[in-house]
Amino acid sequence: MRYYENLFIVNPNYEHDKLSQIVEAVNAEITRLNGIVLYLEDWGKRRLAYPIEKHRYGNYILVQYETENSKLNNEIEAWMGLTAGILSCITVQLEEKPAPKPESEIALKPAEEII
Amino acid sequence: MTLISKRKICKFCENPQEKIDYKNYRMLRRFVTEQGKIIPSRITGTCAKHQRELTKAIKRARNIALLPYTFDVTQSFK
Repeated sequence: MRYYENLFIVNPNYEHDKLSQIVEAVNAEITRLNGIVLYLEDWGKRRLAYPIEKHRYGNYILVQYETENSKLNNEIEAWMGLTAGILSCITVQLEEKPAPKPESEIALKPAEEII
Repeated sequence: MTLISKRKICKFCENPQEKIDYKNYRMLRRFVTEQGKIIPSRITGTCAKHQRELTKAIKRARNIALLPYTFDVTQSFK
């Protein structure tokens, strides 16, 4: 079993409902490709270091998952590239299993920190 | 010679709890110049092993817009 994490940026104009829809879609896509989501965190809206698609801010969301499907990462990145509302993403392999967080923390937090 | 050169010690060797992670961009910012360039290890004192990890982390952070690729210093005065 291998562990990965994906950090992606959602369009800053997407608020609560639309944002959670995207997060659920990512969750569903990972599950569909035989991955198990271990941890999901909403970093909130942040200022980007440089504009992406003319947006100066973005909602950062971190997903950690485990899988044995070696094609999952390629497929999830390709899928994110085609999904409207996702500006950018990065996938990194983790050396060890991330500490599982309780379900309550998986719930989306409201955007708070704006640098 | 009475001059004793003060050897800089790698921050990450000194303090093994401090992990190099691309998500911790506040820490990475210390190893980047105002223009966004990576500072060489001969100036920061980082050892070769940790400098390699740092470089990787900084490049990842740039990729996901946590750190700038470049920052135009003159732009901020306009």
